[in-house]
Amino acid sequence: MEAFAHAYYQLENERRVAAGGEIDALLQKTPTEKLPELVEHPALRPFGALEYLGKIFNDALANDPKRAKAVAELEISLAENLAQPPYHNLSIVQIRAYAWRDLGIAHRALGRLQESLDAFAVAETGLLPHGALDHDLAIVHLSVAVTLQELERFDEARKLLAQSKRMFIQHADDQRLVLATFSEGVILQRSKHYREARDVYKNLLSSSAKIEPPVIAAVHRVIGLCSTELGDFPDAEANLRRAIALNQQLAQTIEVTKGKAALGRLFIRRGDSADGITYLRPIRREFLRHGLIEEAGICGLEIVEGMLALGNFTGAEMLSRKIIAEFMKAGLNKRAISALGYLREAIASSKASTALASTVREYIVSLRTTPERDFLPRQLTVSGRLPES
Amino acid sequence: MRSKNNTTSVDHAAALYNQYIAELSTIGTSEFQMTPAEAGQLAHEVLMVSITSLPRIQDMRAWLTASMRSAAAKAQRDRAKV
Repeated sequence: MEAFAHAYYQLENERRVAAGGEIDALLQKTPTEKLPELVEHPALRPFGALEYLGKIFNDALANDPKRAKAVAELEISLAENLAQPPYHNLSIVQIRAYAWRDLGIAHRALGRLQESLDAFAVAETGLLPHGALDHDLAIVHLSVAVTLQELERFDEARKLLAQSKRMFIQHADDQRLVLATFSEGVILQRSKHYREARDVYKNLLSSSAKIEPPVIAAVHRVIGLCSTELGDFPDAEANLRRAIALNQQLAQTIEVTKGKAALGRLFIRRGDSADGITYLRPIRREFLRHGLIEEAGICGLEIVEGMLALGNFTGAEMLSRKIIAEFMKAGLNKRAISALGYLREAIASSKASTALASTVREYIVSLRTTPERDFLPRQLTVSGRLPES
Repeated sequence: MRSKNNTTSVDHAAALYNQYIAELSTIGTSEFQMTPAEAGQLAHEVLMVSITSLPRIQDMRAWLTASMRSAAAKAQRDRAKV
């Protein structure tokens, strides 16, 4: 009992000190390339400090994944040097696993999906032999499932999510149970089972589970996206507007813009092309202002699709030229640029269709997860229909 | 000498330990046929891990009992392999 009380008391102190501002200040003044040098810094040696770095990692992830990766690598180095007493050896195994998990998440954010799985594998290997760490293993598996889903390895992802959900139920971890269920919905959505995905999301919202506001906003947005694909436009609009309002309340600027882009897409899909184009133009500028070139390009392709629907070939060609120039300047995937070039040429010769614009947009989105995927325009006729086999 | 706040923290930890150690040990002995010594050691291990798991625990009792069952089941599987 004394060992327990001692460790409990010490960690409580370390957590208080870590949150006291010294670590925040230290990290703020350290440029990303110098972060590895902090491994010797005494303020970062305690267990509580390492835990706190995990929070810093989460904050960095959304805005600067490269920095988040450097923070995760620092976590790993610190965890390797962590002195054990008064903590149990399993607590050391545990914090090392979370450091590797953070690295896996950072790799995923940077689009390095195999490296992401490799980092998760290290975390998993550490945790597997210890039954007392099964809850942590389930948390790592939840992260693995997200990467597998990005790789379109849906069956493996589904299996891991089912295992993790069982563990979250046993440990009364409602928060992660919600995330795992949400991920199951995403798998259905990505495999184009929009109705089933929407059912999963709607059941989540009507369940008694306590869902964090950012997750509620995300759920409304994905319901909106599914309903758009299903042609259920009133439901799509209601959910997208709810998502945008929630993101606004949470001051999540980028998420608000993404929600508005989805709403603009809905306008185009339901045939309100002129309204959709007017609505999407400032949103595209907003993405550009934030340096989100790919998002701006995808939003631009929605506008191109709307222009083609209205027969505005000149405007569509000019905008596709702009998008190509932005992609080239930003050094984005050359395959995306080639596909955009194909679309531009088809527009210039008045042979492009809304379906072709939509195919190019979907192809560019797919490059996020499969950057080596080839664009196969030969499969498409200029009318956008697949040839009969 | 510890301050009043520190004493409170240590007292709280001791109360937490005493609240659960017997219940967790009983899970080991009654559900997994462990000896009282083995079960006590495993229960102690689970309680030690709970300290560093606190940020991820929503329901302490559910987390502890589930972790004890996972740990005991793993120990049982390991014993069966020998």
